[in-house]
Amino acid sequence: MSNTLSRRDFIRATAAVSAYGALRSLWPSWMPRFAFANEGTQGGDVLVCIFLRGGADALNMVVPFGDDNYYRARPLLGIKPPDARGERALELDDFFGLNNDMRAMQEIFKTGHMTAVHACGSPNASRSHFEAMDVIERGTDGETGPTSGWLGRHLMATAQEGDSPLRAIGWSDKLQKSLHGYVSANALRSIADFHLTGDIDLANDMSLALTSMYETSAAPLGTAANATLQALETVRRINIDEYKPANRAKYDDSELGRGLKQTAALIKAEAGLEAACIDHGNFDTHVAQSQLLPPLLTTFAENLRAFHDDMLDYLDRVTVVVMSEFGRRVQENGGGGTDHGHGGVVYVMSNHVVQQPVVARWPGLNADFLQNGDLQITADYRDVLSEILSKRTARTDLGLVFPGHVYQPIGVFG
Amino acid sequence: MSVSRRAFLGALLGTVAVSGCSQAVDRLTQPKLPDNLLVPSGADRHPTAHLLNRATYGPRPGQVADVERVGKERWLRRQLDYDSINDKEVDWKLRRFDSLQMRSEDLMSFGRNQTFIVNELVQATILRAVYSKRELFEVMVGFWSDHFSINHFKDTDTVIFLKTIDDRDVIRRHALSKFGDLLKASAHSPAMLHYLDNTVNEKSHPNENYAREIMELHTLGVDGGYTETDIQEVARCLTGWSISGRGRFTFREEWHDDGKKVVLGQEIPAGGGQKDGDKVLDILINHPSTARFVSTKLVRRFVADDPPPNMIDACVQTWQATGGDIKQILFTLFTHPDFEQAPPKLKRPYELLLSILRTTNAHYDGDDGLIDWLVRLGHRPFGWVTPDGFPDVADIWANNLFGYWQLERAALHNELSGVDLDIWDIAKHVGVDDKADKMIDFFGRMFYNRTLNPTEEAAIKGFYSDSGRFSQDLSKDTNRRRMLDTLMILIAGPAFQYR
Repeated sequence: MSNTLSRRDFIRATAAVSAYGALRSLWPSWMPRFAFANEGTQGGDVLVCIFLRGGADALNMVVPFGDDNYYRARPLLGIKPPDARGERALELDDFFGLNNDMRAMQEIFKTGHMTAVHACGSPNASRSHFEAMDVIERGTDGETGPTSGWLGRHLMATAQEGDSPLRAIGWSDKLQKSLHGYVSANALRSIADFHLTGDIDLANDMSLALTSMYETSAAPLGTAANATLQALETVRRINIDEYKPANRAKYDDSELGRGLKQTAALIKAEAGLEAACIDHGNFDTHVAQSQLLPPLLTTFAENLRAFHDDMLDYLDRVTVVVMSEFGRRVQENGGGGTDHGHGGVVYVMSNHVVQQPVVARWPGLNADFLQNGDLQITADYRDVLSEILSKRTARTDLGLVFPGHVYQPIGVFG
Repeated sequence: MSVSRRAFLGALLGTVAVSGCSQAVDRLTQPKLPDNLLVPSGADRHPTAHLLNRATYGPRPGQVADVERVGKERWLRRQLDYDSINDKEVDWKLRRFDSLQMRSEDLMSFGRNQTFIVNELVQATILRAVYSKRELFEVMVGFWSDHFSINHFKDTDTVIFLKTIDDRDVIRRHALSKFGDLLKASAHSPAMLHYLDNTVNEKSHPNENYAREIMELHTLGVDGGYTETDIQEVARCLTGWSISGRGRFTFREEWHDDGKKVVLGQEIPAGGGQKDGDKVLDILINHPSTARFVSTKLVRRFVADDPPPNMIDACVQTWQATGGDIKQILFTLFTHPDFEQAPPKLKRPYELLLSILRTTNAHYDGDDGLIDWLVRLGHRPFGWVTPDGFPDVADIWANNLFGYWQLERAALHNELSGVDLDIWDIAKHVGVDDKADKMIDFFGRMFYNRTLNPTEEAAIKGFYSDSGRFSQDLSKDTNRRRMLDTLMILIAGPAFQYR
C-alpha cells in the first residue's frame, strides 16, 4: 500500500499518546475477518430487495402456459408454451414457464436457488403506482398503519451497538421507503461516495487522527466511531472500479447491475451489510409492450444471474427478494400493452428455498375468478417477507414489522 | 449590536426590505464578531458553556463570556421572559417566506405536492434557530414539535400544509405557556387532527388513532394508567372533532357519539356534545401521569438519555405547584444543583448543523439546500414518520457518525448550500491566523469551550504537522489547506458531537 510510510510516521508521531492499540484495527493485515459480525446474535442473511418499479407484468414473466384463459386474454402478447415453435417460454414446471427474455435466470431455477411465488401481492386494491408502492414498502395493507418502511422497522428492531454504518444501503439518490424508519440507512449512488475525502493519503491521515480522538470515547459514540473508521477502511480497500466478480459473472451498467455489483463487493468485504435496496424498471408497459418489456427483462435476468454466479460461495447467507407494486391486467389492451392489474410474482433467491420453481395456489384466469379483470391474490407479500425474516434473519419482531398482520407461512423455504 | 447600528438598520430596513432587497437585509442583520472575542480556557467543561449548550442550539462566538458576565440565572430569567426580547432582525429575515403568515384556505389552495410550502417552514425554522435571540424559546419550539410531532409526508393531502399553522398558532404561541393551553391548542389543530385521523372519527366509524396517541404520546405515557377501554371512550368523546373544507377546526355534531362515557374512571354524562372532548382534555391535563411523563421527556432532552429520577421529581413538583407552567418547570430544571453534573448528550443531526453554524458565526441565507443534508442525516424537521417524534437518545443516532463527519467537513470547506462559513475571518479577527499552534489552540477552545486535553492536542497537532511536513507558517497556501483539514478533525472529535 502506497501510503504505508506516512501512516508509520504518524504512529511514531503520536506514539506518546498510546494510540497504537486503537490503530490496530485500521492496520490491514490485522483486520478481523468478520469485522462486524456480532457473535451469536446477528449472523442472519443479507437481504437484497429489488423493486421492479411501474408494475411488472408477472403473467408474461412467469407464464401460466397451462391455463388456456391466458392465451384467450392475450392473443397478441401471450408467450407461447414451451412445446410451441419459435420464441416460447422455458419450462419451469408442467404449468409455468419462464419468459425467454429471462433465460439467464433459468439456470438459477434449475439449481434450485430460486422460487417464484405467483398470484402474490398486496391485499390492498389500489391500482395507483404511488399508493400501491407506498402500501407495500410500508408493509401495510392500506392507507393506515405506520408511515415508516417494513425493512426500516426490521432494522430498527434488530439494531445493536457497533452495527456497521454500512448496515443498510439504498442504491439510489433517495432512500427507498422500505428503509425509512432506520435513521442510519444510507442512500448511496456508489460506495465510492463513502469516504471522508477523495485524497487517499489525506483520508488515511484523517482516519488515524480520528482514531486517536475517539480512543477513550464512551459508548455508543466510541463504538460508532470504531465501526465507522473500520467501514471507511474496508470501503477504501474494495476499489469498486477494479472489482472482479467471481465465476466470470458480468454485471452491466444499469442501476440494477451497479447496485448488485456493489452489494456483492460489500458482502465479500465483510463490511457489515445487512440490507440493500435496489430499483429496476420502468415496467409501466401500457403500450408497445413487446418492444418495451424485453430489454427490461433481459437486464433483470442477466444481472440477477451475474449476482447469483458472483455470490455462489456466499448464497448460504444471502437472500434476494424481488417485488413489484402490482401485476398487470390479464386482458391485453388495444395498444399492444397491458394496464394496471393486481396479482404478481415475488421471486426469492437463496440456497435454502424450497426445491420447487413456482409456489402458487393458482386462482385461475377464468373470468369468474378474476378480480375486476385482474389475477387474484392467493399469497400475501407480507407472508413471503415474514417467512424470509423469521427463517433467514436471527431475530426480528414481526408484530412491529407488519403490524396487524397474522403471519401464515407459504412454504418458500424447505 | 450597537445602538447606532440598530438605528441605522431600522432606517434602512424601511426602504430596503420593502423594496425586496432581502439579500441586503440578510447581510446587515448578520451578527458581528465581538471586538474582544473571549473563549473559555479551563481544562473542564465550562458551566456556562454547558448551560448554553443545553438551553440553546449552541453558544455563538463570545456568548459564554457574555452570559458569564450577566450571570447564568439572570440570563435564564431573561430567556424565559422571551416576549421582552426584541427579535426584529429575525422577523425581517422571515419576511420572504409568504407561506408562514397564510390562512389555511390559502395554504391549501396551491394544490398537492407543493414542496415550497413544507420547505419554507423548515427553512424558517433553521433561520430562527440560528439567529433568534429567543434562544431557549426556539429550543422549546423544537421540543414541542417533537412532542406533538406531525409528519409533513403523511400523505399528499393538502391538509398537511396546515402544519405551518400548527407551528404558528399552537407550538410557537404556547411553547412557554402552560402545558394545558398547549395541549388544548394542539387538540384543535387541523394538521394534528388530520395527521392522527381524528378528522374521520365519527360515531358510525370510530377512529381511535388520535385518542390513543393523545394519551400514549402527548400526556399520560404508555404506562400512564389507561386501558384499551379508555382509548375507545376517549375516541367516542372526540367523535366529530374535525376540520372544515377551509381547513379550520370544526365540530361535526352529526358525527358525535352523544352517549354517556367513562374516561379514566370519570363519568362524562350523555348530551355533552363538543364539551365531551374538552372534559377529556381537562382530565388528561390534570392527571398526575401527565406531569411525570412530560417532565421525564424534558429531563431527557436537557439532562441525560437516562433521566435522573430526582430531577424528574423536582420538575413534577414545580408542575404541580404551578399548574404545569412550562417556564417555571424549566427554571427548576436548569437551576437544579445536579444540572451541572449532567453527562454528555449526543447532538442529533439537526442540532449538530445548528451548532456548527452558530459556533462559527456562519451566515445562512435561508436557502433550501440544507434540507437535503438534514434528509440525508435522517433529521429533517417535521419529517419523522411516526407520531412519537424524533428519538432523543444517543443509541439511535450514534451510528450516523459518518454523516456527522461529512457534514462537518463540508461546513468547514464552506460547501454548504446557502451558508457562508469563513473560518479565516474569525482567525484573523482574533489574530491567530499566523501560526498553526495558535490557531489550533484558539479553535480548540472555541469549539470545545475548554482547552484541548493532551490526547486531543497530540492528535490534532500531530495531524497538522505530519512529521514536520507542514510548518507553523500559515501564510503558505498548502499550510492553510492543511489547517482546514486539521480543524475538520477538531470539529469531528467527540467533544463537539456532544451538547
